[in-house]
Amino acid sequence: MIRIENITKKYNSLIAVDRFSAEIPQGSTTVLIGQSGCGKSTIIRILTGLTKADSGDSYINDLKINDQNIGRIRKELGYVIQSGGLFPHLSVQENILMMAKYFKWTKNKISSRLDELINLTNFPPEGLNKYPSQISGGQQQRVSLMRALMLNPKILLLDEPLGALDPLIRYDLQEDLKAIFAKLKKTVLIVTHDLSEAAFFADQIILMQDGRIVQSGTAGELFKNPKNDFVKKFINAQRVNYNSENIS
Amino acid sequence: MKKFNCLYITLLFLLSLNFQTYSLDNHAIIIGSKKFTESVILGEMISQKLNHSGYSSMHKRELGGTRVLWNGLLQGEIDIYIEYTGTIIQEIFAGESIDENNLSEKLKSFGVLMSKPLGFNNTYAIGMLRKEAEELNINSISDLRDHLELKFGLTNEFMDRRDGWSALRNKYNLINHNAIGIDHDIAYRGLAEGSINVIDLYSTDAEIKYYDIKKLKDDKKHFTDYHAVILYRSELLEKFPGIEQVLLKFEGAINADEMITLNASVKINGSSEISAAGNFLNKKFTIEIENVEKTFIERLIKNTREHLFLVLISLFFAIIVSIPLGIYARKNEPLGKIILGLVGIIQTIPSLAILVFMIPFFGIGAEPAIVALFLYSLLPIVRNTYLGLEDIDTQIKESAIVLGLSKKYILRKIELPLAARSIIAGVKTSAVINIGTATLGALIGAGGYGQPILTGIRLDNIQLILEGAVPAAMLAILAQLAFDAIEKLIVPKGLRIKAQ
Repeated sequence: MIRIENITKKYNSLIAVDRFSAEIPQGSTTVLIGQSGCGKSTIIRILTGLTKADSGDSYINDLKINDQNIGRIRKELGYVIQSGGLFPHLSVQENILMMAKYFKWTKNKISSRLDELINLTNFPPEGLNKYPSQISGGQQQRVSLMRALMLNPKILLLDEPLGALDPLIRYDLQEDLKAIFAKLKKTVLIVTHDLSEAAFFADQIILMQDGRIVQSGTAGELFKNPKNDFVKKFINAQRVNYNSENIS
Repeated sequence: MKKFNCLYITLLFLLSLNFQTYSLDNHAIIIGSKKFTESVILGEMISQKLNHSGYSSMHKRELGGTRVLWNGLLQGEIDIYIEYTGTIIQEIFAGESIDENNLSEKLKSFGVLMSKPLGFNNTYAIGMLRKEAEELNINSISDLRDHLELKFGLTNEFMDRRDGWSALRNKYNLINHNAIGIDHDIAYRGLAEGSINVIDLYSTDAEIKYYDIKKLKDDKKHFTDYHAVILYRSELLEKFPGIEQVLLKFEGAINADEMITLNASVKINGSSEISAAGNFLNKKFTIEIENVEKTFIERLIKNTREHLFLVLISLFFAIIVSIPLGIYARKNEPLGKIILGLVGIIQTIPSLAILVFMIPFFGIGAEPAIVALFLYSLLPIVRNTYLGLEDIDTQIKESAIVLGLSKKYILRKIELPLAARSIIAGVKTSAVINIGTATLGALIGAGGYGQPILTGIRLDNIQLILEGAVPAAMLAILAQLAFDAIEKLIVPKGLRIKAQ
């Protein structure tokens, strides 16, 4: 479970997040959506401990995010970013096994966990000895997900995980990811600017503008009862994109 | 622990390169000489005579100028060297009321003893090609006054001496004449080919005859006497009581003609200082000196060993200091920028100056050269380590942090491998600069490939210059190749694939 209470974050005079509160229940998927610069990525950075909030508190599984707890919290987090963030000097397998090696797991434990993960993510085993630069963007995201899942964290944070992929690969990976979330029952927070993607994954959508929540609820609630003109405009603009994407 | 053993073994290996020289250093009487032929011949003569009389001596030749030798003598880096009374009075004790009469007393207060003159006066003189002097009807220094078109090329030492250029210029009213500073041996060649017209001479220079140079009359009696004398540490007499008798045999033993002949035999006729000194001793003292001249291969091996010693030791320490320093600078902004600035400033000091700066702290020989080369090697490695770390993609670093890896682990397993290419490029740059700069080490007695280059310049001997320059260039190329190979070993495969 993720709980965020009244978070504010400024970069110099720019307010990135303004009195933001939200709760993401155990086992559900929430999508943070909004235009670029709306503060959605800052929320994820605060939850991973990469950025500190100016005020307000956040909790991961009831553990408050601060310097003392951040080590324990990170073991409970799986983090995937748009570009994959894979270590270019390490093979795919070395990337995936990074954390298991760090915690000195036994060989047997490592190899059975690796088997589980490549089955789960439909990753071709012959790709394990390649280097990140030698595999496609979609495969890189599968590797990044496997690396994030290695220690079996309860929570997954995904920052624009499909943003850099072309439509067909994106479609395949969307399907696979949704199946994986359902199977693993993780608490998932996804950041995206794509409403169709949000609608596809989300139990709950949080739409942000200028660091604040404009409207939150299921996809259906947002489409049927847009709270104001911004929400209407956001939905309409994205629907056009969604349709044209299907046509092409 | 393993890592420390590795470093330790490397260090022992490096030290063993120069073991022989070091073991000699501890027992032998060290004779120094300045970087001009006469000084080298006389140094060699004393060394051979001492060896013949049963002492063990070593001649450290071509150690640069007066300051290097004098400080070396005071610090006990050398025990004996030949100096000129004029130089002691005008330069070493400049500004004090010292003359030839109270010179011995003054030196004693520094723990230095002085022999009586060796028999010749090698004073300064001003000279021109005879042909040109006669065309212009110039006979004395005063006659130069009206010839503003003449270019003066004077030794750097003469430019700076108290009795040198500025004093001469005032005395003879040469205020509107300009002079450039130039190496003495190169000055002769400049004179011969006409790029300079007036130079300073030592009156026993062999070239005076060879180039047919006219010594201009010192009509205002500016130059004082420069009698050659032996300076030696008084301490030496306690260790080797009989040594004074050997040294004093040289008093009055060499007249001006003999000295000119000796200089000419080396500079004009091409014999070595070793054989010139040996032959003179044979004749003068009717003693048999066996000349042990080194063959080309022996010299090459010796020079290579000395050069490698300078380069490898200084580079080794530069690497183990610079990489951590670069890491520290990157991780501790804004202090890091200050560190980069400081090592940058060291790099701007001319290499020759940094070598000489080290003498008061480390004496002469390999140590000051190594320290200077070490300082010189810092910047490329520190900067490349810093930049290599700075260039790593933020998203990769943040991914590592959020995974929960410790800072130390991230540095070791992720940041340093990613920066490896840049760090190795920095080490490579340092190594190549270092190999070139180390040739200057010969000026302060560190030996190496600079030794034949220095001698070759002095004797106008291209073959000798190449004997140092070619191996130095080869070594630089070898270093490049070696680091290319090391790069393949150290830079992770994943990064090399990306580069293809």
